[in-house]
Amino acid sequence: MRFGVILRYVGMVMLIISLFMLISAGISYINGPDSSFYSLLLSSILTAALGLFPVLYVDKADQLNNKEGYCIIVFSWLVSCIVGMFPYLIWGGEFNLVNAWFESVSGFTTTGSSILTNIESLPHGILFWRMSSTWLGGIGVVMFVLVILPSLGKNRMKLSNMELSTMAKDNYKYRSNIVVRILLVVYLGLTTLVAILLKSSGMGWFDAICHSMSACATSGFSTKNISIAYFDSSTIEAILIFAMTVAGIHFGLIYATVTGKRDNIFRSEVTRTYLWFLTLGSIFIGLSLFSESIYPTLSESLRHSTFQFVSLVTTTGFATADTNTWSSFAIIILIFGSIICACSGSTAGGIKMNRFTMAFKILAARVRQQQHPNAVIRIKLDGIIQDKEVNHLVAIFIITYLLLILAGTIVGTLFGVDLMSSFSSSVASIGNVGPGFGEVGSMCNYSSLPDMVKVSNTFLMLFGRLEIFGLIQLFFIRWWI
Amino acid sequence: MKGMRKRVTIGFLSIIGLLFASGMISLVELNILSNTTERVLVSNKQNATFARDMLDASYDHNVALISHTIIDNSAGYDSICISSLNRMESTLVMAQDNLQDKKSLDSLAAAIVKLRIFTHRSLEEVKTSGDSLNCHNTKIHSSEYQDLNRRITTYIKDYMLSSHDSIAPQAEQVRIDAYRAVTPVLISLFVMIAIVLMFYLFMITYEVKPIIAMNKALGSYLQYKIPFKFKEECKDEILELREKIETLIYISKQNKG
Repeated sequence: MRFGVILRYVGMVMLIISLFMLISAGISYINGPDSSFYSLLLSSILTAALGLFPVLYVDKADQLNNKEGYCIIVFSWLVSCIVGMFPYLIWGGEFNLVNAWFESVSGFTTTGSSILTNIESLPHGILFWRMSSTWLGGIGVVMFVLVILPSLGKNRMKLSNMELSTMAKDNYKYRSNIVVRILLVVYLGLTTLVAILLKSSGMGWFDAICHSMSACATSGFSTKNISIAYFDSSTIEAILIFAMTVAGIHFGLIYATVTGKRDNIFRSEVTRTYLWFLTLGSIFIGLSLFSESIYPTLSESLRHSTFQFVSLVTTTGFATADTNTWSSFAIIILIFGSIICACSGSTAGGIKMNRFTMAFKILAARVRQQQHPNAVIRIKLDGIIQDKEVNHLVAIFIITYLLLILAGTIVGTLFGVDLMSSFSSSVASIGNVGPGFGEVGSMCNYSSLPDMVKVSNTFLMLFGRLEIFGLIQLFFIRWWI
Repeated sequence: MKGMRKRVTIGFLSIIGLLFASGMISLVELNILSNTTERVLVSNKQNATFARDMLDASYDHNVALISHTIIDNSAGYDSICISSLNRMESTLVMAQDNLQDKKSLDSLAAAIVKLRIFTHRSLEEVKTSGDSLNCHNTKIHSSEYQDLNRRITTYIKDYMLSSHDSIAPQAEQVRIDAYRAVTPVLISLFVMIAIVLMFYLFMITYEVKPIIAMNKALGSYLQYKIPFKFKEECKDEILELREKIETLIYISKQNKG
């Protein structure tokens, strides 16, 4: 394996990150300069130095092999999270080493959970850096490099295929160059549209841009301590529900719909299931809240239930209500939504609706196979016959995913965290959702968790973001060499 | 500049640049820390001086007023009273400017205003009656003035103690700042170590390993006539050297033929 080549591509990712740190320093400068200017500028210079060295030293590689591709993806994510800590550590405040690592991983993996007890006291530069990290993470740090750099040739295909979710590739019926461009157009377009809509609905420009970046990355980072509840505006909530829902759909399908192609959102079985899931879940939770008299009117119950359910299923994690006070039924549905999550090919994490639909079909096929032992039963998803290898992978992924939640819960309880907080924080971390229940509820944060639990949650976030197997390979050193 | 020389120069320049940057960062951070510490010390010293000046002024005012109203009303004590009050007030303004929480001295300011009113009234009464030692003045002094004077002295002492007490949190803040000041230096050192390790890896991969392999392959060829071949990736001058050796071997084979 050519480590030099790997470091060259990781270096490119560092350069992009340093550019965003510089933009955040610019924001800080415009606002004063505020207390974060020096930390952001210094972080940008150090990250650029780290990235520039291998880019200058190592020549461009003609062709990457699979191992090199995996290494580039995994190391890019890990190194991004490490350099993402720099501005937090240099700035100080509530950020010690563990907290800075947690905030950085939470940002890049678009989890959106925070250890900060007073977000509103942060300077604008640091707030914008949090949003930048999450926005970069939303599209995928490596994918961003592929978008920016035109001269990667065949390697672009290799890297884009590895960065995309295994289930997402089926829906991309385009060349890798186009796929990368689709991601850019849809992501940037959606972010701009949502920012303008939020501004027109009464938010300030800074808050509007930050929240649109966060919503489109399905992250859930907010500039306010009580998240979206601060604005108490049904228009803002409606805009964000739209943004989160769209960000949870396969970007290729959004592109196809906007450009009038045949394979669009309306023909996609997975998207239909996703939209039905969101609608029914919101209605059931709303009815439950109204029947339990948590909110005085049905419309208010539905307003909060829709926002919270969409927020958790799309793995965003914005909040308009304290879900800890909701009924057990509502909490169970919300946890279920946090495990299933949105569609592949979007910025969302979790098991994903594609695998969930496949799992149901595998189950149904198994029942039919028992009834008709000689029948040849094929499983189709979005009209495409799925081979046995894919079915096998889906089953393995779901089992491993649930085992990791169990492991996270055990670690949490081992360090004295109560069962609900421990379980829900594991679910929220591996699904890149953000808020859980109990100590880590929608109106709380992760600051009270012991350091070891915070670290274990960050690994769950990375497992979730890299779809488990990418990170697992990291532990097999022999495979890398 | 190109080839091996370019690569080696990039490596060394990066290390030198980061060493310089680390030095500059530590200098800037130490400067910030030094300024903060100096600010804390100067502010504390100033607070103590202000408190002492106000206590002195209060004492002078007290002696002058008592002397004027009880002992002698013709020795210019009235002007000492007024100038002491003015000193107290101007010092108070400076003390307020020096404090972050300016409202903490509001009670003292109000008491000084009351003292000024009382002083003017007393001076006026003594002037009108022409008699310093009368029963009325003694009564007023024993009741209203003593209380006012005690309050002012207490407020000044409180101010002195509070500025002294504030050293502890300020020292704690300096300790945190010292820890924070080390962080950028540590991070720049971390980056430098990463670059040095990368430089080492690249030197080994692109310079050292190919030369060792080439040397071994050439030795094997000369000793055992094993074909001159090796797997290591060659770049720049090393690639040229390899090609030249291969050409030389080819020419020597042709000459033998």
